[in-house]
Amino acid sequence: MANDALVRAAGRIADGEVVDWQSISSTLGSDAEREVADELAVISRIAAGHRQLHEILPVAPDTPPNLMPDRARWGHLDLLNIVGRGSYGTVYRAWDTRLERLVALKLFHGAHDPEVVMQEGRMLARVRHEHVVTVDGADVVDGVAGLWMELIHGRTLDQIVKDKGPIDPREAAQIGVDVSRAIAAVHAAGLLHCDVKAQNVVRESTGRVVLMDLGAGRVVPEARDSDQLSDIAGTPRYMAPELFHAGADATRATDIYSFGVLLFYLVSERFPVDGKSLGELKQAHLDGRVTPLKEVRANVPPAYAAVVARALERDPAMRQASVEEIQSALSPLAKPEAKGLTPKSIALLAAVAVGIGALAFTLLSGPGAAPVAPPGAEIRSIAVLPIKNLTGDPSKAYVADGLTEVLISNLARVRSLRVSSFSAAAPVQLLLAGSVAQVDRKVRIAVQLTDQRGDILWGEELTREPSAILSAQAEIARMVAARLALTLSPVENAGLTKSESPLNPEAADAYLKGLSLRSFAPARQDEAVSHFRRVVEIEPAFAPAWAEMGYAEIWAYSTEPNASDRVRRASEIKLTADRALELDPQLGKGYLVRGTIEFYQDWDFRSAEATFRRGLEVDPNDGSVGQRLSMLLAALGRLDEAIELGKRNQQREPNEAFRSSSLGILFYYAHDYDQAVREIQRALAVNPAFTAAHFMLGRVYAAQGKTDAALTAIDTALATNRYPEWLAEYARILASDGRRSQMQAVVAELTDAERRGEPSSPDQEAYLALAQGDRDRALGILEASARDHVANTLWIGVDPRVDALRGDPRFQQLLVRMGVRP
Amino acid sequence: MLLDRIRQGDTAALNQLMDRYLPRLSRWASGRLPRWARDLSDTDDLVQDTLIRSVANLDHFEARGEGALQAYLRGAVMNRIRDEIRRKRRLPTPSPLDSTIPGDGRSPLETAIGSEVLAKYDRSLDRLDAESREAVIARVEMGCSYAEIAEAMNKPTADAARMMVSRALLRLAEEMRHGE
Repeated sequence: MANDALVRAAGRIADGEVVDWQSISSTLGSDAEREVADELAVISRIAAGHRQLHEILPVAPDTPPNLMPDRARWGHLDLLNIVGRGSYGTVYRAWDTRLERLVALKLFHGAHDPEVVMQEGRMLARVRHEHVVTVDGADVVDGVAGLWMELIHGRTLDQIVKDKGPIDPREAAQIGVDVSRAIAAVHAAGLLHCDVKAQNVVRESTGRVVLMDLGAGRVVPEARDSDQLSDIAGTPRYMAPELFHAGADATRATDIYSFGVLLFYLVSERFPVDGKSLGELKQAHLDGRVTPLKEVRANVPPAYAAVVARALERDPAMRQASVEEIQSALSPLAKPEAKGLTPKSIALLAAVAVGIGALAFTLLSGPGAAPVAPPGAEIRSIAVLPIKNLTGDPSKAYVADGLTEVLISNLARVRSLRVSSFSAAAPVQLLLAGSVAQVDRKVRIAVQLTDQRGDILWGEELTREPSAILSAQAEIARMVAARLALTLSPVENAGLTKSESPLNPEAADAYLKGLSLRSFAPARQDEAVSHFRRVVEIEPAFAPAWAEMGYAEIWAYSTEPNASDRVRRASEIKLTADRALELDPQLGKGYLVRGTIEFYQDWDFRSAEATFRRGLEVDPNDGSVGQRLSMLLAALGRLDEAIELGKRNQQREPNEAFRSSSLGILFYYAHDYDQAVREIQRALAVNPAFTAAHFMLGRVYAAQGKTDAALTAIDTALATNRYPEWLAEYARILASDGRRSQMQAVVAELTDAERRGEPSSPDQEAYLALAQGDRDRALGILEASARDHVANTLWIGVDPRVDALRGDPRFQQLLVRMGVRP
Repeated sequence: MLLDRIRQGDTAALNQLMDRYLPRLSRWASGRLPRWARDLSDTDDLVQDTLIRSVANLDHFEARGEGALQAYLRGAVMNRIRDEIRRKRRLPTPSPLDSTIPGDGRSPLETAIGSEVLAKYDRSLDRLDAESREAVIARVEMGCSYAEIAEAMNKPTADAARMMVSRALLRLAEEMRHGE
């Protein structure tokens, strides 16, 4: 029989509530129960992750219109699917073929006079307000009247209350402030809403509160007294008492009454006047049976209850004279941190962030221990979640991806922040989430910062011209720094200022495309380069584009089989990097690119070391620079220094599998195989999909003489990709174990792959020759590779596979000639 | 029932099914598809395409109800995502020894929860009895309300659906504890 506490915990997880694991574990008697509780805690985090997908950072559920079979059309709008039905008509998600965007289309049933709908549509289109859904137009097509408007993604207040229960009064007051501004805008346009209710207010993922369904309210559902209220959309419960009299007209005062019911409902999930049927409801109004708010929700601030009571006055003249009055009464009650931020999605985001924090804590201190506060370290770690594309246009995903990269690089300019990737293996102290959406011709970027406990520290929405979307990221970095009370040094300030100048929109767009490809499409680096080239054609003084272009060009350079073409590419890349550094000497990536060419191509190790060190100085956050410097030190035989740096790299970015696997490789070069295995396995724990780690593991096992384990590991890597380099290592291990026929089969596949032009490195053959005992041939190949400056040859001074040559004076002379040994 | 109408070639019924499952499954899939695998095919396209294909195969589907259908469609999308990842893995990557091109193949959910933890959850979920599995998928993964679950899984009330989900979560935790 399961423990009651566990059943309750499961119920809370199902409800999406936070579970107090500490108090639960104190009631559990057996280890088995505690283990189940630990697994439930895991499930609650998985549930929180999914809620994040559905609620906090929803992907616009928008689909390009070309896949839906048998689609219908109304005027210039393609009907995609039905999103709602009411007595007035049907709401569709539709594709606006003129403006090429998704809209919501409301088609009215034949009973409505098309002219009236048109007239109303024209008036509604005049209401432009942040918190009111924007009506784009109205038309009559084939006798069917319709209105089309902005498509809103989010959940209605009704859904939120039904799912999560009553809302905290402070949060309700904040929502109330937004809704009152929205109603005020409708009234100011000379209109009435007539259907203010929880089903008609939507909270978007960004926290924006939007009043919906304008104009529909004029059509009060024709219902009979005997109708069950549950059959009628919420409306009657929100109707002012005077509207139950025949011939009564809606007024501003009836909107205010409905608003009062909404405020009542938000904090109590109840209605002030209720009944099972329309008849009962009428009777309750006649009898004056009104439930005071205090009776159903005790801890509501008196000022809130007073606002509600006045709005619900039976006599319209006794209610607030205008919605503005409600707004000014609610403002002081709203969340104190409400100034300038969007606190409305706090509860949702917090739920997820708590999940993350709790996970971090479980891994750190083991189940059952008390939660620890984040260490008050000087440097704070911050993770940036991928910015969500809420433009409704999937082809604009690159904007969100590119902006994420720009935001990360701007945050990295703030020295006291450590920007890291975000995973379960190591907790981050701060979490930044954001979304990007298009509003008319402008771009709206929303961001929220939460701490480890899931408390929202700050949130902001910026609406900018397309030319300013890149500079907005620097603004955000500044705001984050300000919110954390970090003082920016002159250098940090200068760096951010550089990022703040406006950019030609076409250049900005090309830059985002390039960044998105550069970061997420390893096989499309050439395309990334051409986008960056376009950027610098338009904006030649934009340093980051030069640096990114050089960075993306390294790909083609490193896979270029022809030695003289490599030289040409390398010199071009160096010029590109120099251009970037000329424009902005604080650009870490510029040093990374320049140092890489000095290291890989020029074999000018002294310059490369100086360049990398300068890069680390200007951008200590860039793990790639530290990584490459550690590899340089290893090549030079300075293994202690290399390992020291490798450990620091790993510490700084524990969530990057690559940092751990690199450290493993450094231990491998130092012939410390046990340690090497441990680090590579750590990389796999962080990211099991990092298959290259299996290849590295295979090399270490081979060095330990564990042939079977080595072959199994490399087999695992080969199962995902049959790279020549991996095949060559497989063949080498088979050769050293004397399995000739098997080896020959692999060599045949290798030759095939090379014939197809798959990139391979000529030094591989040397290791194979060595495994077969042919030292002279191996030495000859290595000497030729060194002459061509084949980058993989750089580590032969420390590579265990070449140990058999160490005693040979010719090999020692080769190392000196290469410059890796004095 | 909806499925019968779809089998009879009723387009309106098919559209209804799309309306019901596409947005949820798309959001769900966006958590499961690694970003690097996403640039070539958009998540929504992938889900929509999978749904249309799955519907074509519904003849072979012995539906016990909508909860089962949802779990079945989730499975189809999951398989499709795995295929997509396998297909796209076959892209060249730079030398593994010292590269700066990110090789992180994780999906957003794996990133947020941890790949191993998520894989263990998935395996344990697969071992659950059908009703429990469908309940967990509906509530935890697809974000259905209790009322929707009650309707889809033939429970008399939303409360009964909540009880079913709670019990299923506990069973899942026990399954995860026993491990493999």
